[in-house]
Formats: sequence, structure tokens, C-alpha cells
Amino acid sequence: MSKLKIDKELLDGVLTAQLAGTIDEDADFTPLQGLSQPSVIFDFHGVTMLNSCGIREWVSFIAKLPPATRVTYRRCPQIIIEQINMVHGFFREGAVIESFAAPYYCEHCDKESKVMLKTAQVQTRKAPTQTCPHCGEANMEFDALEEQYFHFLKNQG
Amino acid sequence: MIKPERIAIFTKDNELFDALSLALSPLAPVVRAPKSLDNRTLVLVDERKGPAIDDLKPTLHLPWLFWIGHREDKDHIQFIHEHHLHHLLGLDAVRTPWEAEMQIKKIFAEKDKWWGLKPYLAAGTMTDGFSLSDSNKHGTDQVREILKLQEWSEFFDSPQDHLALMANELVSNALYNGPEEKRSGSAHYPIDRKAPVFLRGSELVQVNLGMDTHAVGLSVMDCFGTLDWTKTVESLHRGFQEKTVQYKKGGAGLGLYLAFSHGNQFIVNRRPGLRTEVICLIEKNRRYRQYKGRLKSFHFFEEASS
Repeated sequence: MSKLKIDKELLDGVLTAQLAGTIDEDADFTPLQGLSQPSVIFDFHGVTMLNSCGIREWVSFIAKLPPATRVTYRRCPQIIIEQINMVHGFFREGAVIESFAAPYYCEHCDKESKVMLKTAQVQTRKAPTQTCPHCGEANMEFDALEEQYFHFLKNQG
Repeated sequence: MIKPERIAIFTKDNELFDALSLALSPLAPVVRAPKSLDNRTLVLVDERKGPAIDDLKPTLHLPWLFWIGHREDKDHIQFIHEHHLHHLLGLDAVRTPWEAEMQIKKIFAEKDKWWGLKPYLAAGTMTDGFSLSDSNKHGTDQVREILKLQEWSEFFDSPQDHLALMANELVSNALYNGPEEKRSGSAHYPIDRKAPVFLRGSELVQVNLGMDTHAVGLSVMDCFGTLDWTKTVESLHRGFQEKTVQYKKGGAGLGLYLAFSHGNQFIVNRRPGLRTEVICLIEKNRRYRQYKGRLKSFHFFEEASS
């Protein structure tokens, strides 16, 4: 049984699909088959796991989308970004990665935060400065290796 | 059981030598860069300043060669693959002596003491676990339930997700590949991962988790013993080289690669035809960046067939 939940919302001709749960070998993308909208946004915010068979299911699914469909990836969690950096094919060629989570660390209050970044904020694979949501410290430290973590953005215009 | 009679350390890093020597001297006499070696010597080589591996290999008992590498993980797997290495420690200034002591102790221990998380966690550390005899898909949930009970304040924010994923991949491999390989004697995995599997009789896959002051450990043990060095290293090698899923009946061919990549130390214990255990350690670390920057280690322990 699929542990992946998919909610769809159609607004002004743009379909937003919110995915939640686990993308694994049982992931059922049937609710998304036969999409005819010119633009589709996949919101991954609720995805908690993406295993190797799940990547395969996803790659097979997006390969079947019409070539002209504009695909956007929104709010990718950190665990998804890590998987995507380790395995090719999750991002469809030409797709836009709109936003994703990134780890930051505040030396002032010793707390880690997951910050949702817009892709446009990351220039030449350099993490933007962020304010700590816990203590207000202005310059939290990006807590990953930039070259490694932002690797998935290499094909983004 | 044959055991090493001495430990030879090749490094020009005096601090590392002192720390290794202190950690390992209770096990056997430690010598620094001896001029000659024999196959009763366990050898640790810091590749930055040590002898060339091709010069060492002809005279050594290969499972007793512990290579301390400082390259990228992908290059390390290539190196392991090329030289048939069983032990490669990713150089870490702080943790290498601790890791070397834990892993090398196993060489000196009786083989029934190799198994489980005990060699890797402080004495008295409680572990928690469960057994699976079918692919009911609840294994990952059970792992998450156990992880919720641990204290994570000394870790970066996400090891629970990593451990759940590693457990998911390793349990799937154990349930789907192990029995088929043992019964058919083949390395092909014809079972669709969507199909349910049921182990027979007393066959079980055992999952254990534990945490001490140094690390959190995950162990997944099967009772098939089919995952040998070649399959393990070939799989890791393919993962690093190709980074692509395989379109075949069975798994996507990336489970071991992902389990390796999300941990700090990756250990396999094998008794051929009887059981295999994969252990992943994530070391305690407040900073995600340091967790990701740590060069990963690989250890393969195999009992000789008798």
C-alpha cells in the first residue's frame, strides 16, 4: 500500500500537487497520470523519505509527462536534496527548482535551523546570509558544504 | 584462529602515530614503519606518507591491512575496488584513533564477538530492536519509533531521517535479495519490490539500534550470508560511478550506496552462507557540515569458510 499522499489543486491553469509521506517502491502516481495542464508544480514539503526504488518510480513517472509541460519543484526537504545530489535523474531536464530547505547553524544560540531558500537566492553556489529564527542573530552559518549541497542546482539557469 | 603478532603503523604524522599507538598497544606490540613485513603483522598505512600499496600487498594478510585514506569517498571506493581492500578509514583527525581501536579490536577478538553493535558502543549501552519475517513495510516505522526514544541534543538535526532511510534500504535488500540468492545460488534478484515476501521457518531479519557518547549505530542482520565482499564493493562502486537507478526486476541497485553515503562508518560482518550483518554508524556531531565533511570508512569482516 502506498504511503504517499497526493493532494491536487488547480488554480489559474496551474496544477499544484502536494506530496506527503514516503516515496518508495509502492508510490502510486496514478492520481497524477494524464495531466494536461501546461504547468505543474510539485510541492515536496510533506515528503519524509525518498528511497532508491522511490527515485526509480518518480523518474519513470516524470518521463511520462508531456514534454511541453512546465515542471516546478517546490519546497524540497533536506533529506530529498541529499538524495537528489547522490542519484541522477530525479529532476526532469528543463524543470525549475523553485525552493528547497537548507541547514543553517547559529553559533550564538547553538541551534540548527532548516531555512527554506529560493533558488534565486543562491548565486554561484554561495549560501545567502540568514537571520536566526531563535535568537535573531543576523549571520547564521550555512551548515553544509556549499559545493556539495548546491550540486543539484548546476543545471538551473 | 590466527591473530596478528604485531601492529605496524606507517605515518609521518607524529600526533596520529602517538594516538594510534596509545589506542592499539594493549592489543599487540606496535612498531613504527618497520623495514620488513610478514603476514603475521597487522598494518596501518596513512596514505599521505606511507608505502605504496602495491609494495605491501604481496607480503600481507590482506584483511589485516587498514588503509587510512584522505581522498574523496568516490576515490576511496575506487581504491578499495581496485586493491581488494577490506578496511579503509576515512582520515579524521579526531576520530581515526578511536575508529582504528574499535575495528582492529575485532581482528583480535573471537569471531562470535564480532557481531552486533556491541563492539562499537560503550560497555553497558542499551540497544533496541526488532525482527522481521516478511515485507510488511512497517520496518521503517518501527525504526522511527525507536529513534524517537533517543536523546538527540548532541546531534545535528536530521540523523533520524538518515537512519530511517538506511534501515529501509538495508532491510529491503535483506528481505528481497538474501533468501533468493541463497536458494537459487544466483546473484540475480528476480523479486519485484512491490510484491510481498515471506521468509521461511526460523529465517529472520534482525534490526538493532543503539547510541552511546560517540555514535548512533544501526545494525541489520540476515540469516543468509550471501552478501560477499565482491557484491558489496561492486554495488558501491557502481553507485559512485553511475549514480543512476537500475531498471530491472528487483531493487534499484543503489541501496548499499545510499546506506554507505548517509553514514560515517559502514561495516559488514559475514559468515558465508549463514549470516550477514551491515552496520552503519553516525558519529555524534552537532554540526551537519562536519557530519557531511567526514570521509567515510569501510570495513568488511569475513569469517573463513570452514
